[in-house]
This record gives sequence, structure tokens and C-alpha cells, in this order.
Amino acid sequence: MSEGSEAAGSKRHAAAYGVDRLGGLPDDLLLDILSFLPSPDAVRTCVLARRWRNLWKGVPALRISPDTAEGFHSPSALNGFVNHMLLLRDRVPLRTAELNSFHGNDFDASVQYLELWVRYSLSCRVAELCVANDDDVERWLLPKGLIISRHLRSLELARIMTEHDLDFSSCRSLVDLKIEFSGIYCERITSPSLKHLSISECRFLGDVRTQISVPNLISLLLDDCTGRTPLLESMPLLVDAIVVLPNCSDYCRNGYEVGDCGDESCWGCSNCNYGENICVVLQGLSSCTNLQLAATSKHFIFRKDLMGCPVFSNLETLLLNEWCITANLDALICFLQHSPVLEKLTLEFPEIHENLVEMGVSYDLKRQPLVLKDLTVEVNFHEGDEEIHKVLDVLSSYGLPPEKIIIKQYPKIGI
Amino acid sequence: MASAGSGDEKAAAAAMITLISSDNEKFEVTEATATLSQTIRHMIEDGCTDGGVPLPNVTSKILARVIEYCKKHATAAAGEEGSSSSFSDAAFLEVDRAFLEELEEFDDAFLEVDRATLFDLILAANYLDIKGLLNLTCQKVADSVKGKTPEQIREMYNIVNDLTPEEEAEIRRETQWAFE
Repeated sequence: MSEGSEAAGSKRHAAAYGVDRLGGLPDDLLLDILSFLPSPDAVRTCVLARRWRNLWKGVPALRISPDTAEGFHSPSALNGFVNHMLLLRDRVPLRTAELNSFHGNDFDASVQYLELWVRYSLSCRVAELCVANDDDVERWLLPKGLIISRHLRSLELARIMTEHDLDFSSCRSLVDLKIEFSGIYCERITSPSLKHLSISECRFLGDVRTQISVPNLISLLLDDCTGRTPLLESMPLLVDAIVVLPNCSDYCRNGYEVGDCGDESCWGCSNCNYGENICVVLQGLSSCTNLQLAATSKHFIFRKDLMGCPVFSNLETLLLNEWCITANLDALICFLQHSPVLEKLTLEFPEIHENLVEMGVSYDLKRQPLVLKDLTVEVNFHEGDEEIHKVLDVLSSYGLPPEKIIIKQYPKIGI
Repeated sequence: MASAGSGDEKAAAAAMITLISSDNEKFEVTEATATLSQTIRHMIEDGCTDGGVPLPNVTSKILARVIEYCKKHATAAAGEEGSSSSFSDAAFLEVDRAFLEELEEFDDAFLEVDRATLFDLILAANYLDIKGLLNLTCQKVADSVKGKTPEQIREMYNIVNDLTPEEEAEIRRETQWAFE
């Protein structure tokens, strides 16, 4: 009751005098609020009242999102705004800097100051940095040695191009790295501190596989990248990994099971560059608990890796798609043999199966019997798919109980 | 040895803390929930939580809301050193995704409050040093201001313009680059 009348009282007060709850907050809280605003909005609060005049200068964030950048009518308008802001703000540390270039036709003008803004942000000890060129075609060439900071914790790069190694050894606090829509033309990506890595829709441009050396990684996403699949070095702490390669170059146009088709016009096989490596991706992923591996039937990279298959001693959940379906299901059986504590296997099948050229491939099959009585299998397939029954028959022959099979059927798609 | 260790852990997990609001209402919460507040975490570390933790700056109405937030997010915080990450899609496995979506829905519903409550939550989150709640509530205020003209913001939040027309003109001239 008393609370109700108190509320009513304060309402009357607000109606009569207008309580400035926002202005009633201490400066540090106002700065927290301003730090979530797009930078132009934050600066414009300077005319609200006397107290607000210089507040924006202490905001610990630069926020030029794609939407914010779009609010400017030209690259020079956006550049002018950001340059003024950086010159006139107090040089207080930055928690966040989100730097998107102007989206337009004049690429050179759009990215003219990007390097300078990044340098400024790093000099203000920025913890979270996002640098995004917004050009549809051109990629912003990341200057060599630009990203060096012991304060940087999270880094996002979009539509950039790197022609030198991405070595984050001097970014000792870096834990999150995300690269998307970018060209990666380098031999190595290195970070001793990184915990989460996401590389999506990037193109690996080198003939030699880029080596990814992130020994403390916990989660990895390698999604829809083109070019040569990068070589993953050991990641003993890895928990979650998703590697989706529907468009990589490790593809045999002749449909050979593990590549090496001998056809010089098959670029995927003739420039495979496995070198001395037995495994390109699987060895590095062998510590993880949850794993998803997806590719098309003609992508041979995972199957080739299975010829020297590591033991996935922590693997509990596994998702595979059509690439694992070979004549006797050897590839899948090999994987299961090397996953001693697997609890759940999910198989995703497309409507159309492509046949592979069988060449008597010897996967790293073990002699001891495989017993699947503790495994749960979920299969997602299209109605009328005959292949799936062959797969289930084989799995059942290894002791998989029928009650542990979950079937999800998609309706048949007409062709 | 091993069993003794896990016994201790269990005892710690079940430890309850009493929080006392400004209007003397008592709230029993688990230590895991309470320690989402750095302020309370430090008090526990200093061993000064016997007999309850008085929070003279927080009313029972607001404290109940804060505890509701902490309970929900304590489970999320438990997995923080695991696979979660500041990138929204780095915690990409389905279990995580479903959990994150649920958490997001909770946060959205949690923010459906009147403005006075929102500001009280900001002050409480700041006093109790609960970073997630502070960010959530500050973001909500920022979103309400985004894209508004200075006049609209003043009206919305009852901000009295104490600048003379000359002063305002001067500030606008100084910051013309931001108003173009």
C-alpha cells in the first residue's frame, strides 16, 4: 500500500516538475549509456543541456556500424565526422571501436583513413575492435604489423585482404578472432592466446595451405571458405568445432574417393599439396567434444585425412553429411572406431547421392570389433532415399539397437 | 581425497546468502546467484556476509528483479570459461544456440518495465557491480535515444535545457561536423 502511494506521489511529482531521471545519473553511468549509442548520436547529446556539453568526449566507445555509415551521404562526410571526433574527444581508453567504411563507389576514399582510425583505437587501448570495409568487390589490404596491442581482447575483420602472415603473438590478451568475407593469402595464422576463432566465407588464396596455429583454442568455426582448406595444428583444449566445406578446392571433379585421380585437368587433385602431412584438418580437431564436419561427396579432404585417422578420445557428439558415405561405409566405420566415447551421431543426407569412384582405399580401420550399443544415431534424410537403409543396415550389424535410431524425414522435393 | 574435494564443492554450491533490501526485506539466494554481483563477491571473499548482506541502496521491489536476473544468468556464467564467447555465433552448437536464444528472450521480457524501474535497475546494477545487467539496461536507454533529435530527447527524459540560446548556438557551431 505504502509503495503504491509512494509511486503515485512520485508520479504527481514527475507531472508537476518533470523528473530528469537520465540527468540524475552520475557521469560514469551516462558514459556507459552513451557508449552504446552510434557515435553521431553520442556527439549530438552535447546540446541537450550544460552538463552534457563535453560528456561525449569521454565516451569509451567508437561506434560506426554499417547503418551509421549509411547515414552519411558521402565517404568524405563520414571521414570528416570520424576525424573531427577523434581529434576533439578526450584521449580516454576505448572499450569498443566499431569501424565500418562508407559503402559506395569510391573505394579509395572510403578506406582512406581506416588504417589511421585503427591506429588511434589501438593507441587508446581498445579491447574490442571491429574493422569492416563495406565495399562489395574491393578488399581492404590489411597493413603489415598494424594489429599489435596487448589490450586487444576481441578482433573482427570483414572484407579485408591479408598478404602477410597474421601473427597475433604480441596481442597477448586476444581471445576472440572473427574474419569474414576476406581474402587470406598467407602461410600462417598464429595466436598463442586465442580461445575462439571464426573464419567464414573467406577465400584462402595460396597454393600452399595456410597453417593455423592456435594452441589454446576452445571453439572453432570454419564455415564456407573457398580455396585450399587450411592446415590445422594441434589444439589440445578444443571443445567445439564446426568445419563446413561445401566450396573448398579439395574437390575431385572425377569423384575419386580420396583424390589423387591423376587427371592433370583436375585442379583439386593435381595441386593437393598435402606435403608431408598425414592429416590436414582431423589431427588438429582430435581433442574436441562436439564436432560437425560437412562437405559434398566430391570433396575428398576428410576422407583423405581418415587414411591416417587420429583417435577422438573426447568426442561425444558428431555430425556428418554425405561425404562420409562410401561403398562399404568404410569411412564412417573408421571414424566411429576412432571415437571411443561417442554418444550421439547425426547424419544429414541430401536428396541426391553422387557415386564415388572406388579405388580400394585403405582407411585406418582397426582390427578390434566396433560395438555401437551405446550410441544414439539421428538421421535426417529425404523421403524415398534408399541409400539410408543401407547405412542403417550396416550400423545395425555393429550392434546399434533399433530403439536408438531417430529418423527425421524431409518431404521429397520434386525435380 | 577426491570425494572430500567434491563434497566441499557441493557445500559451496549449496551455500546460501541472505540479502537485505533497504526496506528490510530478506532474500535468500545461492552463492552462485549472489556472486554475479562483484560487490557481493568481494564481501563473501572478505568473509563479511554472516547475518546477511545489507543493501541500503536497493529497494525490495528492485532487488527482487535483480535476483530474478541473476538466477537466470548464473547458469550462463557457469559455462563462461567453456565455449561461450563474445561473438554471438561463436557459441554455435545447437545446445548453446537454443540456450542463448532462451536467455535473449528472458532479457527482452525482463526489460519490459516502466522507465522509473529501468533507471532503478541501472543504479542497482552499478551499485552491485553486475556487468551484464548494467550493459543490458544501459543499452535499453541508449536504444530509446537513438536517432532522436536533441529536442525529442529532452522531452522524453524531462531534461531542462539550461543553455542560453547564445550558448547553444556556440556549441552547435563548434560541433557543426556532427550535425551535418
